[in-house]
Amino acid sequence: MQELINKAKELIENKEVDLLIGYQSDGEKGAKPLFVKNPLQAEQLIFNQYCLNNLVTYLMRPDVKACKKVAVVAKGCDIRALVMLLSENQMSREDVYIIGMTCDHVVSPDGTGENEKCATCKVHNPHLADIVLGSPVQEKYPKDKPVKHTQIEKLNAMSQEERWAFWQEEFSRCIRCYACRQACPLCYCERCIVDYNTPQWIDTRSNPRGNFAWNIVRALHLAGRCIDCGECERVCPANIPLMLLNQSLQEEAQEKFEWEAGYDPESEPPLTTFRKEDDEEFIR
Amino acid sequence: MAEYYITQSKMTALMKELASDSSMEVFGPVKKGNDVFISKLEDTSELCLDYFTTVNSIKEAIFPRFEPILQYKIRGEGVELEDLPPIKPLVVFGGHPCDAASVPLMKDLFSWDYKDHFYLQRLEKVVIITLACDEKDKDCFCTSLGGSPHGETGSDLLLERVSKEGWQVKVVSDKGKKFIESHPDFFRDKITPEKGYPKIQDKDIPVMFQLDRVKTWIEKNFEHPLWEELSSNCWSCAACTYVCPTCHCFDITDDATMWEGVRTKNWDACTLPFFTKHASGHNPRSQSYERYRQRISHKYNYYIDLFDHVSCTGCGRCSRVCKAGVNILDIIKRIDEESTKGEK
Repeated sequence: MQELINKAKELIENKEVDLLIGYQSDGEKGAKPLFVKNPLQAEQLIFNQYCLNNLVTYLMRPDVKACKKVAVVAKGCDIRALVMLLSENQMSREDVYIIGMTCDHVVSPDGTGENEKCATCKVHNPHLADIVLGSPVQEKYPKDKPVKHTQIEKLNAMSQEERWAFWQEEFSRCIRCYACRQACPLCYCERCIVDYNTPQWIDTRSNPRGNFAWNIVRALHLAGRCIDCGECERVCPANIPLMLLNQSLQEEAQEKFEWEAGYDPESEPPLTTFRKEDDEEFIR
Repeated sequence: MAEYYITQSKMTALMKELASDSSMEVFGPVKKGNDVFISKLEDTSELCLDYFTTVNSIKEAIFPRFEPILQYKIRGEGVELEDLPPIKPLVVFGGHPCDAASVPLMKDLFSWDYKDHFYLQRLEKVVIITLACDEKDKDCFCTSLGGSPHGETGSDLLLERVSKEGWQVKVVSDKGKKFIESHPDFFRDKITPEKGYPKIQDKDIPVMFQLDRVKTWIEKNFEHPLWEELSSNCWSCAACTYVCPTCHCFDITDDATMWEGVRTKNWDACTLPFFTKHASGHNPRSQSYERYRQRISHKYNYYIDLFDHVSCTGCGRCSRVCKAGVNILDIIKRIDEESTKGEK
């Protein structure tokens, strides 16, 4: 990936950015984030199908936000998160230099095959970037076709009682480490609702009540915003299928607002805008 | 010390029998997805015996994620304290020597300036049945901290694989001895290990750093650019601390209505941004590297000063669970490397 290394060195040497966030190798079949502050560190940059992390999440960390300008290595799916941050006014376009990487697919979290999200990817070629590196990839999934998630069909087929039992079992393993929140590029609240303790809105104990409240609140706060990167589920040490919650809400957003998050930087997210003609039937 | 033999099927049957006894709590390895967790066993639980290591440690059996420490009801004019649920006898099966080695460390902490009788009562009532290691991975480093894949520290019984079907049982403590005496049908006389067992030995996990050098460097370098570099990837969740066998921080929370309430001891973690936030709004560890420095310094420096023992067993769980790629062994090795620089 000499192209990437050269570009990174150029950005750092010319002081166009204070920090570049990319990937370095982590064993034979792995990659992990790399923070580049000098040209020497840039030598370690790589890009391959093991680059799973959505590095956009670091852009909201206070010390990274304090940098004047940051470059980030991002796949199309990661750039969807950037698009959301821009449309939610969390950063300005000129604060970030996007090194878009064309990407055929990444591996599944267990490293055994192709990642499920890649089959319905519409942005193998980055849709917002300052520079795009890598050879163009043939897009396979039609741009205007809403993504259907097969996993949630099985959940929707359950009765309410079965679904309740399903989630009760899954959430019972939640240890409240908040890895889901910390890895999520769109969980950027300076103070999370679970960290309010006067009053304590959300039970912080990892008991059924606390775990339901936490996981449901997080899912709801991502309604119409989640960009399907799957990081929360990948980083969950308890293997909770968190994307089922997010995907259910993604489909709601698609159905009610014909909305898929993170594609168009110009469009306005449905839950952050108000239109007079919005349906108010639900207010009674 | 006495030695016995137990087959896998006998062990499974024993765990099932214990799990069906409502007067006790039993923890063992259960598979979920591709991973195995030390979980509370019900009599219907499927015990998993084919695993390298568990995601979590045995910690949560003895130091639960949350635990009521006070319960009350308000009746008329007065407050009535209610009895807490009794602490039942416990059996914890399926941890490795790096799990069990944490137990004496935690005991030191919880019986230090204040005697935490919740922890100490559980400790008194627990029987820890440990599986010696058959495998290791790149994140294992118990031998660098005085541990061993066959270490006995903290266990009551140590099971070492001697054939495909079963384990040799080493009795390590009186509690272990009593446990075998009260379940004689499951254990039989020890056998000679089959060829190829034990599968790994101490020398298979080479010593990777010198602890005294690491401690001295940490002591002298609270302010050092290396901290920021080492933990730049850390996104400040608590996954590492919650799977760690020795991390022990907790918070006290109150959950109350007008007429009743419960006060709970609740896991907490120095890696979380909210952990040190003051009521004033000031946060003395506002940066992620400051929090990670605390985690490492506590284990490799402060704890040694207080209890003369490093508060890490080299189990590698934090590294395996961290999807941000923060690896404790890499970090300690790097500190060790740094510590030798000045010597030249």
